[in-house]
Amino acid sequence: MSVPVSSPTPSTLSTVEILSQGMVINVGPQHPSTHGVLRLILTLDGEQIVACEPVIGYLHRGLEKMMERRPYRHNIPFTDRLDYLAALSNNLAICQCTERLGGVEVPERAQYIRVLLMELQRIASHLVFLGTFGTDLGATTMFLYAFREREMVLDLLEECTGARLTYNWVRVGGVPDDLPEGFGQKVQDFVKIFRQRIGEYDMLLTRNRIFRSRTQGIGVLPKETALAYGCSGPVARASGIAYDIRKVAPYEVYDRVEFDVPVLESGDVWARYLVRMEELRQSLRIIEQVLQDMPEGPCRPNCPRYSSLQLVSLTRVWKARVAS
Amino acid sequence: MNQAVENLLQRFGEAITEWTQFSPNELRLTVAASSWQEIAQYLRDEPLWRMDYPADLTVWDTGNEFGVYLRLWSSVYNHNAIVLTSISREQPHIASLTAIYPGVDWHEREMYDMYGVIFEGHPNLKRILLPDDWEGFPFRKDYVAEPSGNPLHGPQPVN
Repeated sequence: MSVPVSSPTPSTLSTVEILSQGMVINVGPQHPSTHGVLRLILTLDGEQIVACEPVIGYLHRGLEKMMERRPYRHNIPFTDRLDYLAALSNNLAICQCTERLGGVEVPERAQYIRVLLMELQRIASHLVFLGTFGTDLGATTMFLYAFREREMVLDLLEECTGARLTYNWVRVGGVPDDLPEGFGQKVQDFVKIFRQRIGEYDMLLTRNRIFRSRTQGIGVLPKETALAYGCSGPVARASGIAYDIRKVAPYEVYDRVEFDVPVLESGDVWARYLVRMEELRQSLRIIEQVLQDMPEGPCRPNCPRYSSLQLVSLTRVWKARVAS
Repeated sequence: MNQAVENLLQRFGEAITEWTQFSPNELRLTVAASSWQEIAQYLRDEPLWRMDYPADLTVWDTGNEFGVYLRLWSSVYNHNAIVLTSISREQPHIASLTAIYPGVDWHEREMYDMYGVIFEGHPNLKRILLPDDWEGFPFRKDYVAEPSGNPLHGPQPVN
């Protein structure tokens, strides 16, 4: 990814050498209020980009260092901020680590609730993709459709967790509270409506010839490249890699629900779009099964609030305070 | 996986100090740092392994030494492997894997940025997240996180 940019003094260069050097253009970094701040150093040959060096780190906040000094459970709200479309998944990641370290058992109902909420979140996240992707391609209507349904999901999540984006709704050993009354019915209503709405998206985009010509065969990522660079998620699955962590190393109750992992071979923008569309349908399948199978019972953490695990880190914080 | 493990142990002998098989498709190896690159190359190219997917590479500081952690996955056999090694804190050098797995390029840069581990043979080993003039390596356990040590430059907010 590095670009060798030599800069000999102009007087020593012949015209041919100057022309063959290519032009270096700097793009960004954009202002921090934009979603992701990225700087690109591009080397051009005429109108073609021949080399690109991305420069990142403009929004680096040193979360790991902040987390070092806190008890494990105090770190959960930080993980909300890692990805504003996947707060629950990141909550879960840190809680699972802590649970594994401490050998904490999670009540079955809590596991089902986690999967239910995460799949709802996946739908909301994919809808942001769908809406903004459509807008970027000139299909502005798609944005309104996708965000209308996303609002339904966010309403559901808000009713359960109290927040629209930063949910902070997983605890070490469970979830903070049970689902609100009638929540299951509301989710079922949503699933019913949303399944029809996916058909509308298909009519708007999937069967749209302009949309197809702008995505098919564009931005092809061959399977070998995707593997060598360790691509994951829908990007990997659109390039023919059957890698889904929910299948490769199932966690919570993903081994108890039936769902398919869409894998396509062509590796272009079109394939990445189709994979996400299919994942929307598969998420609905998972949600339906989870609602049906969810057992009654406790869902709040069953482990002592100050387990030995937490005491270790508490001691460390106390030591750090005394030392400073 | 059994035959593959046997071949691996035979091929590298003492370079593999420890190995544990968690499940039929999950293996953890502790190896000598001097064979780091060679073992990675073997795991990728050997027909019985074909570990072609670099899932993660990271470093941790135990206080006495640095541990290096590499997680691989095989798209052919659906096997997972964790490869561990340790290097000294005084001479934190280890071979870069960028030639074998291009995907670990940024991981190695991040670990250099945060721990000061030198990945020998990396084509572009420089800071990736922190500013270029940052002093010290923040994730080392003996790092002093005083703001005066690394004042943030650039325009200050106006009230």
